[in-house]
This record gives sequence, structure tokens and C-alpha cells, in this order.
Amino acid sequence: MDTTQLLKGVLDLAVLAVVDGEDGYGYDIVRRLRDGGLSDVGDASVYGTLRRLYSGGALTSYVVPSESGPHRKYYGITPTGRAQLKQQRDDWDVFATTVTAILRRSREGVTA
Amino acid sequence: MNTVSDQGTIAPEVREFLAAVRDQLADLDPDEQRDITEGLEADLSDLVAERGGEALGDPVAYARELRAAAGLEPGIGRLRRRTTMAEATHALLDDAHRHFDRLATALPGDSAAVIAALQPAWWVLRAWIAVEVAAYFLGEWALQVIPGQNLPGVLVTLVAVVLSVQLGRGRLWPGERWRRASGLRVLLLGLNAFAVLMVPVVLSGLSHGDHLQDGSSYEAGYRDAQAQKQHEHAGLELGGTPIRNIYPYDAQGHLLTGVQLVDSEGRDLVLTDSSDDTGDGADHALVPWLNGQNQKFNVFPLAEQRIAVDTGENDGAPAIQPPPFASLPPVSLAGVTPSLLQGSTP
Repeated sequence: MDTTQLLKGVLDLAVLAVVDGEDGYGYDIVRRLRDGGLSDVGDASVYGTLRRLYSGGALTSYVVPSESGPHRKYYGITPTGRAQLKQQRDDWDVFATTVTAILRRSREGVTA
Repeated sequence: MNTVSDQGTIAPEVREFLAAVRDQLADLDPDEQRDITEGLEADLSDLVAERGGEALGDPVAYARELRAAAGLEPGIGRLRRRTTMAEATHALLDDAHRHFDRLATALPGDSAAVIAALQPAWWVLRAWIAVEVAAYFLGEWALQVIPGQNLPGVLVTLVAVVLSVQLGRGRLWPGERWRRASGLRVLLLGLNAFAVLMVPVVLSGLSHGDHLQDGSSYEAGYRDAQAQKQHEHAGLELGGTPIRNIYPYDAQGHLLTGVQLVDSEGRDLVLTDSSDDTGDGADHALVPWLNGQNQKFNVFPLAEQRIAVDTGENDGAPAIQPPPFASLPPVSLAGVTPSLLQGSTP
């Protein structure tokens, strides 16, 4: 199964979750997601998601000048984003539990 | 300032790649395009640093992915930007900063780097200004710092310098979060502007010793030092009233003109230039004697310059005003021979 399709549905949730812990800039957030195990996540998808969440008010952004290189654009979560994260996390839990239960039942059905 | 280094540190492949991506986003309005690509230089530079130039891939596919994830499909509806007051403020300040950067970069030589290097000096100066201003308004606090002269003042200044430097480095608040608060940013800007305005005020206050109102010992010493340079302040008094002029007479009781007076420490005896209305509808300013180019206010009697009250202009030539007495009774002291002055008639 193509995990990129699965990823699309939950990328918002994953991005919000890693930004919730600590503000980060684009590539830093990509790295956190990869380190978390989402190795297939596309950089551009994450950046696009960050901008969309920002436009929707879930994230704020601020530019931090750097001594040695170009400005970095940091993202941080807003109260709206936190509420969205909680809602989506709950939805995900229910969804994942349900799907897991269905899968387990079907496997038991097969093995029985 | 960073635009300078931007040019130097962005790898050419990143710049090319980004230009190609921007081409793909050309149909977006400039604000949206800037919004979606801002910060990508840094992100892509990191990517290249970590995984090499090949990791960039195809800019067209990249732009498509970026658009899709951002919800900016070609020709389809625009991202609606939520523009809050805070964002507008940030945008305004960011724009101003970019303007400044461009301006600094356009200056000849390495001006931008020089300006950047001078930042810490400003952080220290503004801390000192803040302490001076606080000391001025708190009066009795005696914080006025000529470093080394007053311990509490030096300590407070040190603390202020540390705070100011940490503030300047963006370390005073944990992380970089505070930068998001536009209110703080505006407050900081306002404080900086205020400090700039206060620089000449504090410096002139220092040289005039204006805010030395109380009598702590070091300040008294300071005032004495100032008195030699500044005839306008802290001059001779008699019974609490400033002395307006001095008319010396010799032992014979004859009026002397051009007598230089110093105290036992060798300091010039000077008057307070009170410029008071002396009852004739005009102010008077003291006119110094001259020793070469040096103005001497300890030579008596001093000539006075009438100043018209209504216009503030000089009124006539400076002149020594008539003495209170044409002459005094002669005096003597046993065993002391009084000065005999050439040209004085006994």
C-alpha cells in the first residue's frame, strides 16, 4: 500500500504534533517527522502544510535572522492549532482503534 | 544586514532551484508567493548541506507538491490570509527592516557589517542611558554613574548592561517565542527610539551637572570639578543668594579692575550667571575676561551684558557696571605691607 496516500490524511495532525512540543523552522520540522519514523514525507508537502496551517490560523510564524545564513522562518502553534490538534488526535485515536479492531477481527477470522 | 550574508552563503544550486520553483508559482500574487517561499532558502540550504545538491530534485514537481499541500492549486481559489493586527505589525516592521538592510548594503564599503558589529556597543550605551534616565527621575537615588565613583550605580549599570545585551541577542525571553509578540517588538522599538533621543539629553545633563541635586560626597566633588569649567552653575553665594558681581578695592580703598581670584585650592572663584532681571527691565549676562582664547570668569569686576527681555537680544555693548562705592576707607594690618599697584594713585 502506498503510504503517501495515508500520510496525506494525517500530515496536518503529525505536523501540529511536532510543532506543539517546540517551535521549529521548515527543515527542522521535516527532520522531526523523519526521525519520528515518517521517512517518506516530502519536504515540499511539509512546507505546503505548514503554510496552509498558518493561513488557517493554527500556526503563527516569525522570521529569525541568522548570523551566518538566510533568515529562518519559524512556526509555532496557536491556541486554535492546539484545539485542532486535540480534536484531530481524538479523531485519530477513535479511527485507529476502530480500524485496528476491524483488522484484528478479520485476521482472527482468517486464522480461525 | 542578513541580506548581505544571504548572497554569500546560499549555494548557487539552491538559488537556481528556488528561482525555478518561484517560476512555477508565478501565477500567485506577490504576497502569497513571498509567503509560501519565505524561509525556503534556509530550509533548502540545510537540505543540501545534509544530503547534497541531488536531494533538491525536480523544481516543477517540488512546486506542485508545495502547492498541493498548501492548498494553492493553479488557477483555483487563493489562500485567504488571516491578517491580524499583530501580523500587519510584523509585516510592517519586517518590511522596514528589509528596507534598512537594502540601504545598508547599498552603502559603500563594508558598511552593513560595520553597522552589525556596532550593535553590541549600542546595547551597552542604551543600558547606561536607561540607568541615567532612571536616576534622573528618581532623584535621591544617586545612581549617576561616572563609572568607578559610586558602587550602587555601577552595579545597577552592570545589571542593565547584561539585560540589554541579552535582549539584543534575543535571549532574554526563553527561546525565540517572544519575537512573535508584536506588542513586545513595538515596545522594544519605542524604547530604543527613546534611548536614542535621550542620548544628547543625558550627555548635556552630565556636562552641566544638572541632576546633581543632593549632597552625597562624590557628587559634591563632581560639582567642584564642574565649577571650574562651568561658570553658570554652583557659583559663589552669600547668605544663600548668588553673588552677582565682585568689586575689589585695594588697601587704600581704591577700586581695582581686573583682579583674578582663586580659592586656596587654586580653583577659579566664579559666580552664578543668574541672568536675573535686576529691576531695570532687562536681563544681564556676565561677560568673561580673556586669557588668550580662554574665557576667564574669575576676573573682577566682570562686565555685564544687558539683554532685552522681550527680544532676548544683546542690548548695547558689555560694560562694567558702576561699583556700589566709588572708594572705601583705607585698611591696614600690622606687619603686612599691602600691594602697591602700578598706575593706582595712593
